[in-house]
Amino acid sequence: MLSIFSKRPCIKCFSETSKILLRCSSQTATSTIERNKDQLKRQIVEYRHVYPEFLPDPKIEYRNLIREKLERADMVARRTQVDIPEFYVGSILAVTSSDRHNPEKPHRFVGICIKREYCGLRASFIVRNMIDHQGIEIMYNMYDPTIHKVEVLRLEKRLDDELLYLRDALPEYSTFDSNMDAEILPEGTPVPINPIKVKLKPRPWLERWERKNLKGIEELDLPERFFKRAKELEKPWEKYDLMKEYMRTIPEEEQIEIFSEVQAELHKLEVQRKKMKRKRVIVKPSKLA
Amino acid sequence: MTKLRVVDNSDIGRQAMAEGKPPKCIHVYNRTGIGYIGDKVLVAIKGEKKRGILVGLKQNQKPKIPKFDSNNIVLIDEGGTPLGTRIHVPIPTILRTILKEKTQSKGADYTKLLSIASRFV
Repeated sequence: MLSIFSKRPCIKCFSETSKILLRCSSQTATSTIERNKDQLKRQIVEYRHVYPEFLPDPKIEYRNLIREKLERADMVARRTQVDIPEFYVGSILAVTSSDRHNPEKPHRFVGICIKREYCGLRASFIVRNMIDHQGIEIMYNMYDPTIHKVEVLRLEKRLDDELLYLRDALPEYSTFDSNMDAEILPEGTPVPINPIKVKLKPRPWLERWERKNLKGIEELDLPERFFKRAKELEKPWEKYDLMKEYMRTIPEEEQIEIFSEVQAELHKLEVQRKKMKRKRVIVKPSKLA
Repeated sequence: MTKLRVVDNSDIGRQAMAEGKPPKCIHVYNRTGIGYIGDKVLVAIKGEKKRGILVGLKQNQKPKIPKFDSNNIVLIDEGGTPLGTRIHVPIPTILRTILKEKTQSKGADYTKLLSIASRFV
């Protein structure tokens, strides 16, 4: 509407003064609204990476707008109770949760996040570590009421969306000290990407990694026929398939709708977290001295 | 005939693992024949038949239950007493509940296994 208005002063039926007035008022109004919109849009572009579980599964048979809305409300309510920070596949997490089988004390598990899947209240992530030379993975539901705390010890991304190949990699790539200290990034820095290339053990593997087009693994030492077959099976045209892209994602208009609904609450939580962080930063030097 | 890994320090288990001849599962003591966490199995180890308890599995688990990179067993005798004196890998805490349920009075006491564990996850 406003954009149409701003063009209107060009029509000559207006008097000179009213023309100027109208132009000024309309321009300021449009600019502020546009700026707000731009800001919101930019925030929302960030949000879809930070909170991917707020976006529903785009499969049409799974969509149910009322359920999604209720789930979102529940997720925000849970987030006000427990602080679930921003993390990505490849980040190192420490998850503290109470255990029905050992009621005396909550259990803390440190490891690298190798997978994030599902959305809504079913959202889950897998944490992997090597303890006593034994690879161990635990899957947690993100909105599980038994989780006390999720700490991010090192916030970073890897080159791939899933790190399931760590199961077939040499053990040093998934070994993390359970007494690790959290590394604090300076505020405002983008999330660093760790370009580490992982060396896999010789075959047999759990999956055919040479067919997965992975960027985070070293050159594979395989006979020629494996790569030949992988080349036969790859589908390089799929990235140009617009229909597939459309069915795979939630449209931007809908994303803006979803995130503008929860934006106020999430922003409040973020501000709160920043306050807590600042407190922690101040506390640290006193400990050292 | 799944190959298993003995994770306690019993003589027979240690020798079998060192020789590179891990025990094989020849029977699972339940109705389905599929071994889950805490189930008793019969294994063939160094030409002998021994019983063991599954204490860590490769298969996908429910949330908050650890999934291991290998199928681990602890060897026990008829009465449920472990043959070794120490377990050198972490043990899932859910075994406390499972083994307590499986132990009946006057039957085999499987909870002795928990007391030789070095670490729980």
